Amino acid sequence: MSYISMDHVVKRYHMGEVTITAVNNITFDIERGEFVVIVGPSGAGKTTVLNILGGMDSCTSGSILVDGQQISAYTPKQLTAYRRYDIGFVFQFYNLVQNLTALENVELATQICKSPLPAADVLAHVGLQDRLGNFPAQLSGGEQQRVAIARALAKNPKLLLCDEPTGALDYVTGKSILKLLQDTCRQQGMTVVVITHNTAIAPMADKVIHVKNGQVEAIEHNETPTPVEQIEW
Amino acid sequence: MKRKPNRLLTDTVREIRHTFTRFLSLLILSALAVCFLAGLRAAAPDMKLSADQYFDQQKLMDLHILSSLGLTEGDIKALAAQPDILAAQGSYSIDAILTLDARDLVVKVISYEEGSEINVPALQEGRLPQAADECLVEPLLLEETGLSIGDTITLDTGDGTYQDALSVDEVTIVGVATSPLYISIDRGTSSLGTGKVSAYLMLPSSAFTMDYYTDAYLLVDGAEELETYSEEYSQLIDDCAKELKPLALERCQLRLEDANDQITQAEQALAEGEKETEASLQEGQEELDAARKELDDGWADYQEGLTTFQEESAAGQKQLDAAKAQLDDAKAQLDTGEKAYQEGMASLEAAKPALEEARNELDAGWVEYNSGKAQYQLGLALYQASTVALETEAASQAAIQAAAQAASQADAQAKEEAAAAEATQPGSYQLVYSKVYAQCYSKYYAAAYDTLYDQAYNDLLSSSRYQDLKEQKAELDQAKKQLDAAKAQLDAGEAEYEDGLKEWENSSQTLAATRKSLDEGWEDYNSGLEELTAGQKTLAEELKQGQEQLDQAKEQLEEGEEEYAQGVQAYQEGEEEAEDQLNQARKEVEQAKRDVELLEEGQWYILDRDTNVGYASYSMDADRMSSLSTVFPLIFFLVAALVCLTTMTRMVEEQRTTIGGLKALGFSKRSIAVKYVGYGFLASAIGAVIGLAIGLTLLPWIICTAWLILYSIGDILYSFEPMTSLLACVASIGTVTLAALAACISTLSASPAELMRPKAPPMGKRILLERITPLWQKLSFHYKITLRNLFRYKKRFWMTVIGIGGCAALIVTAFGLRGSILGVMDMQYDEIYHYSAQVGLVDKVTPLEQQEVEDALDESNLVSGYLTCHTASYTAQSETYSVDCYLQTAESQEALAPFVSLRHRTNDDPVTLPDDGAVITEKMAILLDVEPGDTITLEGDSRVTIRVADVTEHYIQHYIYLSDTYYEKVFGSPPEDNTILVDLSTDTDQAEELESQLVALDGVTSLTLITDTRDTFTSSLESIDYAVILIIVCAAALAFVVLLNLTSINITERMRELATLKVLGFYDRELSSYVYRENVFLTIFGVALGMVLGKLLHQWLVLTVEIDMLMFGRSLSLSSYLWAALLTAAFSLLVNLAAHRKLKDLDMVESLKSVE
Repeated sequence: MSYISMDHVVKRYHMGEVTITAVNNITFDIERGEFVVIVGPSGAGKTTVLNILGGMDSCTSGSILVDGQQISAYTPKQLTAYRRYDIGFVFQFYNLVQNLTALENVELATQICKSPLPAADVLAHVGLQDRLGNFPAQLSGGEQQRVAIARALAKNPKLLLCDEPTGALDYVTGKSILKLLQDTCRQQGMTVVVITHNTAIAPMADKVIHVKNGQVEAIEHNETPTPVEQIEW
Repeated sequence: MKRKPNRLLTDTVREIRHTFTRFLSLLILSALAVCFLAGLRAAAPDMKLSADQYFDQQKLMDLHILSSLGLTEGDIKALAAQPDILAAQGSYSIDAILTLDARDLVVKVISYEEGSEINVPALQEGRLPQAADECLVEPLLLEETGLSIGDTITLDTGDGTYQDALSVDEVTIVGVATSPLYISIDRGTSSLGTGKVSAYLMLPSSAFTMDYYTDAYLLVDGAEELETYSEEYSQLIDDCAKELKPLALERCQLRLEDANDQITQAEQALAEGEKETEASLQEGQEELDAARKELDDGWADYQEGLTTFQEESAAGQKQLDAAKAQLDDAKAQLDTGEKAYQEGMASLEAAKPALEEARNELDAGWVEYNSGKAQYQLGLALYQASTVALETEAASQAAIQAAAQAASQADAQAKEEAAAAEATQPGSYQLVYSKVYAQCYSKYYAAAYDTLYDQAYNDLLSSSRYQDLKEQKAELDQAKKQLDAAKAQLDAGEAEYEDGLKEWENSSQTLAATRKSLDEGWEDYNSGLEELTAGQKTLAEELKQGQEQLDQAKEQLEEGEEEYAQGVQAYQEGEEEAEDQLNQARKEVEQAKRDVELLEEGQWYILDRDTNVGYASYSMDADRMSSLSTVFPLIFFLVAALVCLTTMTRMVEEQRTTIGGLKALGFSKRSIAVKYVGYGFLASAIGAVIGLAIGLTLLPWIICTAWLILYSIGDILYSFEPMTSLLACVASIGTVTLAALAACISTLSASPAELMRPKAPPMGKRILLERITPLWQKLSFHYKITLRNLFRYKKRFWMTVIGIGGCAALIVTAFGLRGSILGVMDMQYDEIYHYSAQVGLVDKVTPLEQQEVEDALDESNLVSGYLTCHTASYTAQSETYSVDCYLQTAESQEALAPFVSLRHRTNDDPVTLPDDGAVITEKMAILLDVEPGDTITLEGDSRVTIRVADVTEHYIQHYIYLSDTYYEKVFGSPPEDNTILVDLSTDTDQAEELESQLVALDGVTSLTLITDTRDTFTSSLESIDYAVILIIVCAAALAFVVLLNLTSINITERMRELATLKVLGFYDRELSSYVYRENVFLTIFGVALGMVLGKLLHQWLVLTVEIDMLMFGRSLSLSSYLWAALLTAAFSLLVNLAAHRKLKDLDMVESLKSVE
């Protein structure tokens, strides 16, 4: 049994009389400690998949199993708890609380967790040991994203979900972020799911899931993932 | 060319549709602001306008003329002929008692002239009267009494001024109508009954039989066109009143001459009456005196007779008593005699054996004696014989010895002398010798013999031979002595016996005599006793007869006395009656004299509508409303405008990228601005119109309806106050539109590129609190964020705090105002005034009349105290202002203290009433802008300047308190008593009796109960309560909208942040509390600010809302704060609940979107 298993997941939105099928019968598995990249063009439904996987949205039909738990049957409250304890989320636009310092932003997440990692340690791990007291506005984009990752990691989640983590970053910075994610996966055995439209990133993953028009186009297993440093785009 | 659709317009319309809540909140805010401003401001004018309409319809008099002399038909005609006067009408107004089963009511009866053009009654039900015994009543009367149309009522005009004023006693109610003269619930006072007029009714003038009109009502030319409470109207009426003054003087003069004649006649009649009374009284006295004299004589005779009878009977009795005493004495003597006789007989018998025994003893004694004697005589004879023998022996011995001795001595001597004689005569010797011898011998013999005899005798005696003799002799002497003693004893015993015998015999004789006299005594005694019994019987009979005669005489006299007593009583009654008549006459004389004085001062009082209580108090209420509406809506408006501004600013900021896009597309600044400005304009304009519509109808309706409880004014007339309305609309629309414009302009001036980029969020900053590390570290994480957020969004912070603060301030103020207004009554009537009624005395009250009133008060046990003082009405002036006030005098501070408390408001220290200055009331001091030490001028009957000594706490009307001393100092004459402040317990039936009793007195003109005054003021002030409650409701509504709006902005602004938190796994509750905490802080800050603002606002508003006559409470009660805090907190809670729903529905996908 896989660590994460999505089985014939369908998501439909009703906009007035029109019904939009964002995710149409998607099925895939993710093993523990895997680095998974979900790629696809804009509007392919990858964000929806991420939302459903992250417990931010529910699916219309199908089942989602995470670590043996049937997520798809959760109530909204259970979903919140699931987000709270099991999921780490990294946003494209970092979504840091502007009014909190780097450390405080991490603490914001750790305060609601059962067994969080020490905030300062996590920040040191992402290389920001010198910027603990800075406000987001005083940090560069990459640094902000590192804080965001630190925030996600500090929760000690089962699953780290990243929505276009390099989308708002330049090439070099983006690479360093990806490196950080890969290192985290490799060194800590964290299961990481990255969503991107950038196919160039795919080689660094253990498993690449290609999504198109709400369906899984292909799933490729990469026996020898390329280190980030060797990837260029 | 086909006109292209303006897509910018489409965008605007869609914008409205999408953000309809925001649009609506703008609209509501604008509507509220306009509604409140225009509505409250319209209320007062509407009140006045409605009144004006009613007065015009009912032709309320413009001028009211009263005369101390009454008004004649001629006066009315003269008035009507004046150029400015449109119409004039004489009218009667009297007081009467309406007798009902349960109680009596005092009613005002006013005349109704058919087809009259002045003071037309507004008929509500039934018909107008057609005969003298038909009347119109006011609705209040029917409410009070339960009577209805068709009932007949009895009117009693009392026995005072209005005794014969009506030709009818019983009248039938034919209709219900209100008179414009009485629009308030105050009906004034009366000198009848309890003094409180309960209602009025209208009778046709034909029902009145009075010589003069009591009132004249005038309509002034051109007054109807003017608004009654306007300046122009007062000016016109003032001018007209001034022009009437010469006429008034002229007419008064005419009447005075007329009246003087009558007064003279009346005085003469009074004098005659007095004389007559005196004469008849004199006659009665004389008759009574005669009767008294007769009776006194009779009594004297009776007394005399009684005395004689008593004397005589006493004498008779005395004689009898003496006789009886004598008899008793005799009997006693007899008894004693008898007893003595018996005793004598007994002792006589007892003496007999003793006597016999004595005889025997004596006889035995004699025998013994005689034998003793014989023995003795024998002894004596023996002795004598012995003695003689002895003597003879002694004599013979002596004679021998003496002869020898004498012969030797005579020889010696004769030889010597014969020798001597021989020497001289020789030869003689022998002769001489012989001679001398012879001589000397005898001589010497004699001399020697006796001596020798005794010597011999004694020698013999001592010789033993004679010794026995001597003893014998002694024994004999002894025996002789014994014998003599025995003889003496026997002789004594003999004598005693003789005596005893003699005595016994005497006694025996005496006893016999006694017996005889005793027997005679008994005889006398018995006859005396018989005589006495007879005498007693006679006396008793005589006494009985005498007593009967006396009793008869007494009875007659007592009858006479009774008759006399009746006579006296009759006389006293007659005297009292006469005294009463005399007093009455005196009083009438005094009154007549006063009337004469008054007549000399006789004048017309030309009064305008302001002197009508209802009219004036209505105006005051409207003014109060008006002052209330000046400030409140403004604050309200400011808050609303502030929130609109925030909303618009937020909107423009939200639309930043859109504006950037539009700009990049090449739209002009103007056309872009049109969208936002248009949005604001549309919202505010629609809101303003709606607000105006509601404000100009609903608010005045609520307020006027509240006032209509107190006033009968007919229908409400809604006015469109163009200036206020326009102002409110322009202000409201302008504020919102300009806010939108201002927000646009700053955004529009930025370059498109800049706008397309997300606006850099304000930098996170460390706040001051963080520097206090120990404190900061103690705070939980949530609070850190909350505090940072609060201080980060400074603008939002202030907007919210001011918004909430403004609303809280409004609520605080409204509650505080309510407390200040309603608290006035308690302060004034519980803490300042301690008396319960005020008795008005007639002008120039006579000492007799005043005494009557004081006696009545003294006698009542309900009255715990009263103070007679002088009260007068003056206009007080300082350099800055003038106010109407009452002047009240008191003998001293101590005298006044139980009735009125003089004290400083701020610290409750008592204020002293000095002899060199006046104490004035606080509001008056404020209005006149004077302080202790300053002077003010009083203008009234006279014009004087007084020094202000101190200022006292006081709330209703203005008073100047003077000590009698200072009054006299200032006015030059001591104050005349014309008012009595009475402290009595008013809530009993007896109190009502006392009131009626007081009012019936000649010296009393009015009796005002403090409770009545208080009720009038309270009901008037309570109506302002409606307005205040209205304000509270509106302020609350505003607070709610403001909070809702601000919270909504708060959430919208931070949608991303909140969504992120949600993604991070915050539960809904945690998310809500994250927002609430801020709101709670903001609310707390807001409420705190509101308290401060409210306090200031209240302080200021109380001063503004106050009318001149009143001083409202200055303090703001704790409950006001509490209410404001509670209400605001409650709204905050409600709003938070609404926000909670919104947060729950928040889409997390928002967090994934890029910053717009």
